[in-house]
Amino acid sequence: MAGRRLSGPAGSGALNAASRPNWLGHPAVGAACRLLLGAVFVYASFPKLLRPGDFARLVHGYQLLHPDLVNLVGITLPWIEVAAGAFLLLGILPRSSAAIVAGLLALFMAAGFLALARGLDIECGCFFPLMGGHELGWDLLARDALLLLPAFQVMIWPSSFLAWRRA
Amino acid sequence: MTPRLTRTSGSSEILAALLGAAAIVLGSATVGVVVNHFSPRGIPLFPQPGEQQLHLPPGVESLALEDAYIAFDENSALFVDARPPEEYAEQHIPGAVNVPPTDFEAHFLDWADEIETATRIVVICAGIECSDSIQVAERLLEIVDGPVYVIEEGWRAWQDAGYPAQRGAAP
Repeated sequence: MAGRRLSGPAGSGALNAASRPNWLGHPAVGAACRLLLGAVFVYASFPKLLRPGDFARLVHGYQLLHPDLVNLVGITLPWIEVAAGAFLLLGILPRSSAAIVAGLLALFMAAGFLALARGLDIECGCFFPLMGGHELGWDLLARDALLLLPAFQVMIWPSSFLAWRRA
Repeated sequence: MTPRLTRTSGSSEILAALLGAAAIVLGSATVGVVVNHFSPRGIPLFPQPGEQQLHLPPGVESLALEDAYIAFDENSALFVDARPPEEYAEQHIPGAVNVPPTDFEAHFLDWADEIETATRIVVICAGIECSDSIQVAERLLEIVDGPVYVIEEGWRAWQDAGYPAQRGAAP
């Protein structure tokens, strides 16, 4: 089936370019990006859901938030992660879920950058404690930056391929 | 199956995506607060005035770094290092035993006599952000009478304070 354009024949170049068939916008690529991101975020969120106190302590280690606020973040952030991840896996609101994941990744990168710039020697806590202690470093920020790519893919070309319901 | 090309996003789709994102964030955060309220592992949403800011489970108490050093100096406590064996081997508090939370039972059995006869147990891990010491303290509370103390500032603070340290793997 041919792709449809929101805009008519006189639509903007950007929109036309986005709807142009190419491998980046292929539904199978979209599904792979969606499932990858969803799996990573669901996997990362589970231990944090089970031990919010420990996760709050980890957030405190970044020394960015007032201590009175770390519990709130420790309680809510893992649930946002698991919801966005599960929605991506199921293909429900993929564009919204990918936007949340992109926002979280940007947040993690900013927090990591500030911690490293201040010379803090702390554990990342990204997948705590499933993958053991992993010290925060530039390699982890690069990994977050790489994960932004599939998030952008899903935001631009939300795919209903292998989804519970159509995007 | 022929791949179906999706529609490009217009401004209304972007707005809908952002509204959807806001709904997911608010909904999931609310679920988190409610589940935390009823969970046995739940923590206070905001610490009450005068309450310790970072949550510690019942039976686990915080020990200030200076007080921990006094206990070390007086030899009045058994120090349990909850860091991984390779970090323990690099440097640790002299006399500390190594019981990380992973494979707790095996490590505990190596030091069972010392731990069970200790009058006071102080657990330490890497730093303020780590919770391995708390997890180990909780496991120890299943075996010994409480309270079990943790040095929340962790090993790095002990090191930074210039307190004694020794090298070597656990025997």
